[in-house]
Amino acid sequence: MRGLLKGLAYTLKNMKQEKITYNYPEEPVPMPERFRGIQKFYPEKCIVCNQCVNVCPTDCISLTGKKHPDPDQKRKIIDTYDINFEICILCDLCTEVCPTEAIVMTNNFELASYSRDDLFKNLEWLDENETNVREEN
Amino acid sequence: MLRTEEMLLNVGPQHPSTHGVFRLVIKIDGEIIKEATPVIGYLHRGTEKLAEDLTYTQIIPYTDRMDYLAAMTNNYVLCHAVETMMGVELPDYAEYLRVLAMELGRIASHLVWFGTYLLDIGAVSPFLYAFRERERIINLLNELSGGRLTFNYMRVGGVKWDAPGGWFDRVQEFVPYMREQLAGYHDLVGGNEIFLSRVKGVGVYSQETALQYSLSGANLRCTGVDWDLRKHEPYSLYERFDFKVITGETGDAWDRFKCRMGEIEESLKIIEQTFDQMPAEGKTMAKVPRMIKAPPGEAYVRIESPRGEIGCYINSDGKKEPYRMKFRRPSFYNLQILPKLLEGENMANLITILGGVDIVLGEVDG
Amino acid sequence: MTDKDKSQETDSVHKDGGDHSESERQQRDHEADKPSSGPPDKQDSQNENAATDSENPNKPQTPHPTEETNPKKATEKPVSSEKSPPDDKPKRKSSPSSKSAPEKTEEEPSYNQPLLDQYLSIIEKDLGSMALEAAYINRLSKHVPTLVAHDHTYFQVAKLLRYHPALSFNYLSELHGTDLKTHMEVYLHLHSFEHHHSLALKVKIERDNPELETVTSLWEGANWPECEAYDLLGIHFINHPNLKRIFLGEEWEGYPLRKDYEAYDEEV
Repeated sequence: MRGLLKGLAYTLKNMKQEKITYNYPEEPVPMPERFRGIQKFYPEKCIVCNQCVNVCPTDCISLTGKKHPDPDQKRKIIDTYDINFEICILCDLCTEVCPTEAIVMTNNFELASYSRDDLFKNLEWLDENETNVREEN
Repeated sequence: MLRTEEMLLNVGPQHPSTHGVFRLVIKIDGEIIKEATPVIGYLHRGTEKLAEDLTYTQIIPYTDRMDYLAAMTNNYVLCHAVETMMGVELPDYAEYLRVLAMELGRIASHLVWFGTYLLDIGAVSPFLYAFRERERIINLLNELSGGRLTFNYMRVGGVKWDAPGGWFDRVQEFVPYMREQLAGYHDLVGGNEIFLSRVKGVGVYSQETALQYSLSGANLRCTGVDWDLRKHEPYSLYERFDFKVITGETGDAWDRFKCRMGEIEESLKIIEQTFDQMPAEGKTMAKVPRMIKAPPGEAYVRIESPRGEIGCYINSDGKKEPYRMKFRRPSFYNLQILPKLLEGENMANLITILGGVDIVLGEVDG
Repeated sequence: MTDKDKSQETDSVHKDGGDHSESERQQRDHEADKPSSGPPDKQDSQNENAATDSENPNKPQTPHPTEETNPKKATEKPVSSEKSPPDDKPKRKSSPSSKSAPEKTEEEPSYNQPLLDQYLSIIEKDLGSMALEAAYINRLSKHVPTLVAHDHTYFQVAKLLRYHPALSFNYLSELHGTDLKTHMEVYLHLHSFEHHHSLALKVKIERDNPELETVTSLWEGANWPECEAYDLLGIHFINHPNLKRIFLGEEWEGYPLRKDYEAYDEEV
């Protein structure tokens, strides 16, 4: 009986404590700076080096390059860039290898959707995903 | 004497007390379990097969998903195996960061166990308290690594990030807070007669049985075997820390409870000592080649995860992918004893015993 | 990563990743994820080597029996001469170009050498000098003494390791199988709680019809791991109490961890 009362006392003590739950869908949950969310892509920075494609453990990135419009420039520029968020595990390796930081993480993580097709994000979408971009990559 | 008939009962694969997809086919005669057959494999993702096609760095995120309640130790065991083969010496600073992260993960993992175990037995409030504390740890690890559960924090040769500004202070603040809460937990359930009568003398096995069934972690220590790889086969920097190996005596569910709660306290001690010993700053990565290649050969290393002895076997042919990779997953080994423990037990004890083993299905199925 | 590295890397990728169409590229990426990626020609030559080496599987069986009589000699020699390609690491390890310090392998014996000698003398006394195929210290794996048994002596050796008072390896830490293309291998990591020693026991078995005596009678804990090896590699454990396909289910075709396994549905 004593043990039960002791437990009850602990519960009562905790009733006075501050609330620690989040009112989540109404108020966004702040994520720390380093949080790995949906990627942001800068097409102008990309040098089509393919490193992110090669390092991706789930093979969810596909990209193509095209010739630079200026014929004097030898380097290529990015043409299409797609990430399949059905299988992306947001592991951070693509942003880690990117030599020009063309692909970086953001703090946005809400990917739920009614259709799987929505999870296939292309270059434009990733380019426009420019809120909460992570600074350190 | 009432005549009873045997009945076949399916527990799971979707059952709240199994905390994952685990199926148990039990033959019951009235309230007594005659035979229990665990059916596993619902969460088998073929990590080992996948690993054969991936570079060592790429495997790290996959290890996060095995024991998803203590992903840091999984990260560590893979990196440790590769580092052992390559002969890489880590900078102290990086090792201290790893130890901090692993011990925080250990506490978080035991808190989940504590909360859900009591929830299964029928106490709801401890679950809420345990998850409140765990949320703080998860937030700390999130700040450190950028992930709440799947950290992907360690790399072969070090860690990905240095600690962010003010992080050490927040961890240091957390330690006394956790101590206070831990004392509260003991008030809350440690003396609770209902809880005690549910766990004392339930699921007893002897030392010999535990060893025979290859149990590890708290499941082994509860029988009185003084065995903790951090202490007895020191890896990382664990030699430098002063901590006790918590052992039980009788090998029942109550001893397993005490072992795990004691380990939280020991982990807190290790975290405190880390701050005393840790250099103020240092390198987070050792010098490793850009493309990690383990030398040809094989290696098996094992470390202490919250659930027991987690091991990693690598057979390398010198390429950047392992030729064969195998994880010794403690939950898989620990679960083997379940049919033996359940035999002849009362139906109501099923949850107590299953919960006491502390399994994570992602790890059981690999 | 230094800037130099980056620019080099990007340059090289430029050259080979240049003008492919998207589909071609995706295909290439798929290939890059298969076991041996890297420059295609290099990879091919490696495979060729492996193939030529593996063509004489008789090689492992010839030399050792004489060496076993002298344990010390056996520890150094057999590994360097009698292994088939995927696991002939000690040989390559001792070559000066490789990573693990060569002077260590050459000169000072491992700190676990006396232990290994002790095990060997016990095994030789009880089971004769032919019981083991090889014995050596695996320096890559924290200097663990490693014994390689024949498939017909495997159970005898395991039993001795389990029950001999000076050995008493009463804890099975790990059991798994490996497909080495020319043969299968079962690896056990044992631990003795009485003497606090660890040991690795390996056994090579033929690949076409892999069969091995079960050790569940010695260590109950080997039950599920053996099921796992049966499920994923098709190694049949004789006298196992309940050998089943523990993960994939009885109706699954093929053994996924075999190197020649082909997935039924490539896309998944």
